[in-house]
Amino acid sequence: MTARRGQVRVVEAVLAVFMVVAVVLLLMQFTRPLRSVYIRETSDLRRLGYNLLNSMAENNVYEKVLGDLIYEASKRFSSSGRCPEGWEENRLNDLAFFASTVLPQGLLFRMDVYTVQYDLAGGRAVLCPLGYAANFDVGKVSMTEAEPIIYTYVCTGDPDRVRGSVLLVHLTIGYSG
Amino acid sequence: METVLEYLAVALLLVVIILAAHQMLSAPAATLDTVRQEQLYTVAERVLDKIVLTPGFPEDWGTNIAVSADNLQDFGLALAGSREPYRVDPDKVMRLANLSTLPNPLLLNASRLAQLLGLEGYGYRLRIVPMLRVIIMPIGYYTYGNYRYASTFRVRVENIQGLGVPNADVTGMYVIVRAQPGASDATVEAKNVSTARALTDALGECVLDFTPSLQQYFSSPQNRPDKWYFTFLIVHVEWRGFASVAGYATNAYGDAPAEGYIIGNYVFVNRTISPTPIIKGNKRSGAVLVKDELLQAVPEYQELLNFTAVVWCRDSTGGYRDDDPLCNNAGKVLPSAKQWYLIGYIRYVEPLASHVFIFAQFRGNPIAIVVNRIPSIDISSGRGAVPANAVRLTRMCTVYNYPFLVELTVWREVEGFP
Repeated sequence: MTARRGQVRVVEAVLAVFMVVAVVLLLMQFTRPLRSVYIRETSDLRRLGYNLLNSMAENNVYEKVLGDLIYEASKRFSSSGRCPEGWEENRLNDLAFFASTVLPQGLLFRMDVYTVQYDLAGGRAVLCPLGYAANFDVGKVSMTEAEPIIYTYVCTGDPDRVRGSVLLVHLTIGYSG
Repeated sequence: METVLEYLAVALLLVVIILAAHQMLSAPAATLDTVRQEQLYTVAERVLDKIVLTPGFPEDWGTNIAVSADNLQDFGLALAGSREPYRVDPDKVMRLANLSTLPNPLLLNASRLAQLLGLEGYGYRLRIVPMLRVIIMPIGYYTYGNYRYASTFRVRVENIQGLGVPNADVTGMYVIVRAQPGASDATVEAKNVSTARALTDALGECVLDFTPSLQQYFSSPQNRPDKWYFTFLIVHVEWRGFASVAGYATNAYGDAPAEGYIIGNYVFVNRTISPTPIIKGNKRSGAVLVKDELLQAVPEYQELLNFTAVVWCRDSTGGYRDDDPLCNNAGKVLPSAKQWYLIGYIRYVEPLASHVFIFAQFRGNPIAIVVNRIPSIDISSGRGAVPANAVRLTRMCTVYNYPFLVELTVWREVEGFP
């Protein structure tokens, strides 16, 4: 009888240990902090993105790389009052090559560029897409820990025919995975 | 039988307790790793901001030769007084440069830098490199009299990762300054500038050939072999609005120490160099400041060359000159540099000049010494290896309106890399 009581206590002790360990591990899962490292990474991505776009603006890269497209889009909008159709699917390979040359390795980006046109009769601003630059296949690869950046720019450099044009650049920069 | 069961149960209990203890100990380790990595990001961001957005103290520490690594109180590379962020002071960058051919007399070394940035206990690597790196390789020479000049160059334009940049517009400016050697000086008679342009190919390379220009130049009866010719090449690269520049001493051969430093107004070159007083018109000269930033904008390339005087702190007997106030000052501040360098000063250094070419003699031959005012920097507290758990941040900055990348990598020394 005494021996049986001893066995029961051993079984009880085993069960108790299991329960304590299970509860502790469960609590540890809940109390684990958010992966704050990602917050840091994306905050730095935002700064890097603005840094890139601003650096391109200071060196008149937009005018030199997109000058012809900006002029053509403005001309078509002036004549028809509408943005050129299907241009949102234009791949801006020059711009993509430029950005991938400058950015650190391992980063994914997609840069959508629009010209801001003014419909004076309708009293509204219209965004006309010029295309996009990306260093990955946006249909196949998903981006994580990404940061969106919106930047507006007034063309000031050569060629002269695009001077005064307003651009809106939407850059998404992040990591794959 | 019961006893055996009890022993088995106790053994099982022990195993469970050990496993649980192991699990409990390893679970927080992952959390701690996350926190530690976050700290590394914080440290790297804070340090990089300090480097590129603050000017340091004293604010003129880049040009003030009285400020050395020992008495610099606060480190920062930002241009003092600039309203634009990410504008870096080239004179401060120069303090970090250390040429393989000539040590920097006012070098701020990696350990002192770590101390000033509060990075003791961390490993770090700081790179300041042009967005477009220009590499000039001579591949052909032209011989005239006793002299041999590099005349054909392969120019490679690459990015920070070493990838060639295609379709970059490369302009080369080959400068020849002809001088009549005298007993103790030389008189500048004429300068000639030849240019060549090319686009880089798919690998980011192109060839600039100045051989026909040199043949034509030296076929003139005025350009006789008994004259002195100081020659150098400036290469300006423009790609999608971003520009870069490089200089090359085209008649330096063998072990000629064709590089130097300019810190503030002071010039430091190898002590084996003989200074050559150059007379241009009625003025004493000795160097050319090249305003290459304007190379694309000003078609008259000749106008980009500013002759300027260099006052050398060496007398005719080879001793150090203390009678000149500026030389005397340099001698007091840098007593050991008097023995190891030829020191001189330029009264006014053109702010737009990214290169200074100094006329001198090496073993009796005239050479032009290239002083690049915007050198590339790569300093590291370790041996160049970086652990996997390192944080790397990049910023695009401006030095003299040339785009540069500042890249900082930080890691913990305890993680295996000194």
